[in-house]
Parts: sequence; C-alpha cells; structure tokens
Amino acid sequence: MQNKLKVMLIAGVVEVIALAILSGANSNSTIKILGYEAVQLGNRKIILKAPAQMHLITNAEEIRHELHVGGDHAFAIAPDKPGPQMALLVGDYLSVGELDDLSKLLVSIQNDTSARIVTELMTEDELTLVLSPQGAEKDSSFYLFHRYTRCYPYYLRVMSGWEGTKDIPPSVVHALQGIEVRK
Amino acid sequence: MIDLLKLHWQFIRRPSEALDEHIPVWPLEYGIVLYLISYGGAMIQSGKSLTVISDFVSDFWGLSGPLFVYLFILANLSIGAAVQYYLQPQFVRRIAGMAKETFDANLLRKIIFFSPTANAIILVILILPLQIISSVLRQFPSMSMLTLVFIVLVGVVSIWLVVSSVNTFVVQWKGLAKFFKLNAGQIILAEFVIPLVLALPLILLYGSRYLTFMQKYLR
Repeated sequence: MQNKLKVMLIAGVVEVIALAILSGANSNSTIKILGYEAVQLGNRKIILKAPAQMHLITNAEEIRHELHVGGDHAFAIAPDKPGPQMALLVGDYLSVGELDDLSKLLVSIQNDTSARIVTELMTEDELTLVLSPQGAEKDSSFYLFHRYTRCYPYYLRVMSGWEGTKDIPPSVVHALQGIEVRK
Repeated sequence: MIDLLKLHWQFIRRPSEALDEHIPVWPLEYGIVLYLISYGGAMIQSGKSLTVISDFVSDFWGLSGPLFVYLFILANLSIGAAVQYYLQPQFVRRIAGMAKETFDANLLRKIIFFSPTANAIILVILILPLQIISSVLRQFPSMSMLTLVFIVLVGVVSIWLVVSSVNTFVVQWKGLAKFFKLNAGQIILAEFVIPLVLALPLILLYGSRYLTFMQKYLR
C-alpha cells in the first residue's frame, strides 16, 4: 500500500502543477484570472485592449458623478434604466479608434441567445469582455460595479441582460466601437 | 487505483481502523505531501475559489496577477503546515498532561497530516484528472459538448469531496481520542479554541475588513 500511496503522491504533485499551469494558461493576466469563472463554465472570453488615446475614468468620484449613483463599492443602476443607455455611457469613455473584430464578436454573441456581456475595465488600458450564460451572475439587470477602487481605480464592470433576444441594440454596437479585439 | 479507492472508502467508513492500520507505518513526509495536495489541489481545482482568492489578494494587498494568487495559496498552505507541525504538538502535549519523553509528537503530526487522506485520494484519482481534461478541452471551442460533460462530472464528483473533507475532522478527532486519550472537551480545546485564540490578533486586525470583503463579494 505504501508504494501505491507513493505513486499517488507523485501523480498528485504532477496533477496539481499541471492544473496550475493550465489555469495559468487560461489566465495569463490579472484580468483573465478574474474572468476565470466564466472560462470555467466553458464560455468564450475575449480580451479587449483599448487604444492608447481613449478616455478613461480616473477615479471613483468621477464615475459616481457621471452615473449619479451612491455608495462605495457596488451599485445597481436604476432598474428601469434601459441597457443601451448604459452601454453608451461606457461607450462614451471608449468610443475612439477602429474596431477590427467587432463584427466577429457580435456574431459570436448573437449565436448564443443566452449570453450576456460582462465587461470589466480593470486597468489603465485593458478591458475584458466576457460572455457568460444566464445564471452565471446573480442578477441579469444592468449593474455597475465599481469596487476595489483603492486597487483598481479604473475598475468598471457592466453586465447587461439580453435574454430572449438575438438582437444586439445598434447603440451597443456603437458603444463597442473603438476597441481593438485581442485574443 | 482500485486499492487506493478502497483505502479512501476505508478512511470514510472506518476511520479508526484506517488510523490503526496505516498511520503509524506511513512516513510523515507522505502526510505532508498529502496535506499540500489535498488543500492546494482543492483551491486550484475550483475556478470560483481562484476568483475569490484573486479578489482577496488584490483587495487586501493591492497585488494582482496569477503569480500572486499562487504565491498566496502557497504561503497559506506553508503557514498552515508549519503551525500544525510545530505548535499543535505543544498544545496537545500540555492538554494531555504528558511528559516530553513519553509524548510521540510525530504520531500526532501523522494524524494531522494524514487526516485529509480520503480527501486527497478522491482529488488525485478523480477530480484533478477530470479537471485537467476539461481545462484542455476548453481550449477547443468545437469540443464544447464534451467539455460540458467533463464539467458536470467534476461537479458530481466534487459533491463527494464534501464528505471526504468532513472526514478530515473525524479522523483527527478519533486519532486524538485513541492515541492521546483526550476527551471531547480537550479535543475541542486543542483543535478549535487554542487556534482561535492564537488567531485573535489577526482577527482583530483584519476581521472587520474581511467581513466587508465577504459582504461585498456575496452581494
């Protein structure tokens, strides 16, 4: 039994290392590892890199002012706030430059009726867009999470629920313009 | 593999016999590796826990990136192992009222480190390989159905991990009672009360911040 246990231990060490490498491969940046849950669920994830000239929110106060929300970390936007408006609001910060793979991205969204967009603006110049299925996040309404402002002054996370429709509002398409898609 | 699964079953069904039969003869080093695989593997295999750890590391220390996540896991495991290796025998010896000469510290260490054996066996034989396969399959979008099958399998098998984890406490409890003649009150003192008292400064220092973090996370 000791020998079998020894084999199991060696196998275990190898497995743990392999899994760490594989999860590292899925998450070779901070942003990716935070989106790991969605990857775990077998979803697609695309990392978007914003062009250098795009305008970024630089502090929590500015976001609060712009969005007219209160609190200090997570806020639900007024439930009756229509999604595209929210997306446009984000788009205002991002809408510069050309978008190479937007059409590809939107096709992939449209082919998955259960998908919702989760965007995470985590660092100064990077944005993660994660497609997650219904139920992966606990609320399908539009949300703005502005959390961990101390660590990530640029953290902006928007979730939109387009359940039941294949149509992506044109305003969202517009809002996403200017983002370079990087896989 | 069948033998190891039988061993797993023995640890779950008859922990006292498993203790008697295996723990005194297995080398302590095996126990330490089992401990690391069991807790480290459990942390790594769940994407949810990686996300929580990642958020925790960035929220508390402002550090971001997978490297810091893995360093944090490693530091946690090492500190946990060191505390259990060096300090736990001290508490238990004093609680049991045994002399240094008659107290078998290594036997206690074996009980501590071999207690997650059932947990580690189920992880190594079933969960981690399935998780690795699904991780590889996720790289190929065309294999999404197969990926889903493996994800479901991991989920189903992980339920058994809960049973194995509870068994960790059962094995430690039975081991302390059997080999060191501790009663229920003394075991609770050694296993829960003293560690809690030792952790008190940390709890006072970070407790409220931790609660805020969890509220924020659970919201």
